[in-house]
Amino acid sequence: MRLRIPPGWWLGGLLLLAVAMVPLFLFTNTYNRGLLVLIVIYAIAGLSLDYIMGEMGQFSFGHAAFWGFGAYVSAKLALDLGISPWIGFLAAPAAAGLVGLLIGYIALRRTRNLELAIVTLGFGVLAWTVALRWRPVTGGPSGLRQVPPPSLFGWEIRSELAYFYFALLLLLGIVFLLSRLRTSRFGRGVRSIHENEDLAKSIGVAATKYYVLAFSFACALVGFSGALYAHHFRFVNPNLLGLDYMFIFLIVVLVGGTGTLWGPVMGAAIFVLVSEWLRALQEYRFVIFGVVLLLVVLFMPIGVFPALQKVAGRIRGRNDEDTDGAPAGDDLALEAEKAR
Amino acid sequence: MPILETSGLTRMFGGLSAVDELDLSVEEGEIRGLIGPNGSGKTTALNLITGYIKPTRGMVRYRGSEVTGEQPHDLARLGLVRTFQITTLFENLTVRDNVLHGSHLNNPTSLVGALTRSKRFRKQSAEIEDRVRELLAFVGLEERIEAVARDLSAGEHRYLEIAIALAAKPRMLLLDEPATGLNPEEAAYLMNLIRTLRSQGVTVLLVEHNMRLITNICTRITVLNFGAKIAEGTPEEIVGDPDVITAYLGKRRGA
Repeated sequence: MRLRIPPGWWLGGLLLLAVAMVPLFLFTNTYNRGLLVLIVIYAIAGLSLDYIMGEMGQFSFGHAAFWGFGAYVSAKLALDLGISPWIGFLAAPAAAGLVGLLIGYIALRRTRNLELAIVTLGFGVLAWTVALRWRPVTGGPSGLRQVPPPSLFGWEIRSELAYFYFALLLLLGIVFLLSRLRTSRFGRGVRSIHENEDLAKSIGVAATKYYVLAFSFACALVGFSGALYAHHFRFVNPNLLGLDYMFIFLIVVLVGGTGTLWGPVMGAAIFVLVSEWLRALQEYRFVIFGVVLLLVVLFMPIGVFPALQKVAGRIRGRNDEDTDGAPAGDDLALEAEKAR
Repeated sequence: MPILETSGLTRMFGGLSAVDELDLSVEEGEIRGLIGPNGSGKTTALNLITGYIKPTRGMVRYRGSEVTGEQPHDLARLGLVRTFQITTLFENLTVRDNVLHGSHLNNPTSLVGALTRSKRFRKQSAEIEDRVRELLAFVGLEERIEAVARDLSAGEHRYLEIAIALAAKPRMLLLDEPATGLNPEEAAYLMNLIRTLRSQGVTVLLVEHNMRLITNICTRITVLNFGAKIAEGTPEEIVGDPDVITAYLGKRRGA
């Protein structure tokens, strides 16, 4: 086997190393270090949404609902049953994956693309309403507080820095597994459906089954991210299931770049840092993000990370638009190629 | 026993029958032609057989068991594989990746193996790669292995399509107008490929509307018009059949 580290890994690895070093110098107070945790959590959520957008070529408007659901599951287990957050970190993705399996089974047997987006939107709004109204279980509008942090050998991972490195390690593991999943039989099956569903069926890919499983997997991943959120910020409320977070994850994926593993990581960093920088503007933040999203989609539809990869490729003196890092398949990237 | 059999196969589209009471029986090892003028129901028949659309009534039997209305991917697993009239590839992938993705049914790797890159996984992957290269050599695309599929010529598109279908190891291959858009040399090359396939034991159902192409290669020919079978026989019989001539050329004025 030849040992060749894909260029995406170099760029992503360097980026991650930089991100990992940053807190030591730049983020000196607790508040700022909390932002770093948020970056990692959003990155994982972004990666899972991008699994649906980049790998499956589909869209789910209910993704934040699975995120919030995962957060509630783990918080609830810890608060009501005294179950360790470590179990919660497993239970949340399991529960979200299971609900994802059900929703996916209902939605993906009949719908794709726009219809799927609408079905998942309906589900998301429904889940948000339940979280808001089902007071005895969800705590109603104020949600649940005092969610315990995980502890390791009697030591609670409470400090921002410790939680950040803990979550960062998990993020790295997830990126690694996702990159390998792509070349698995399952990953190739999903890719082939994305590329051409009729052809995929003709060579034996059980398209609907694969898409339901892939959707469920993405839901499990985002549920895990939700649990990470709950045990760090130590509260959950119905907003976590709502469209605000849906919009955030969408920005993370689109700004970073779909179909690339490092794109959502970069998108999450950009979102959290810029959003913090704009904090003084309060409610105008989303106006600005709306405009930014428009500009990105119009002028850099492939996203920041693939754009950087291209620049890096040119610096290395070769044009690796299609073959490196990003599989060329995702629609946004293609649109961009055509526009050039 | 025939490898493929349909009886009374019918598909209505809003009161019109696109395929009308079709009885078809293909023997193992045949190259069967399915011809007819445009709109005569050839592609619909193929879609019905391969599970892409459901029949209104009638039955499809493959290797002795009924498969009416089964899913395309299940039929592919049984060795019944098709290509499409409009060239259908994984456009954005390289030639190699096209055939690699086409190897789904012959990919024994496990998920855990893929995630851990186990020795077994690497060995199995290397075997799949070898098979991909073999298939590309067979259709004459080994030089184009790194090309992106959408950059191929019309002829190369068709050859790649066949390589993808072969990656599924079909026992019976259904080709929907594979020569469309090809120049005579490319078409001849393609027909040669099909002949070789037959000698390797693959049964072929060839949908075509170009009669000249098909008479050279087929063992038997079935002719459709307005969804119904109007003739069946050896190429010689078909070429001389007055009903077929009428269907293709129309009635002579004043005759």
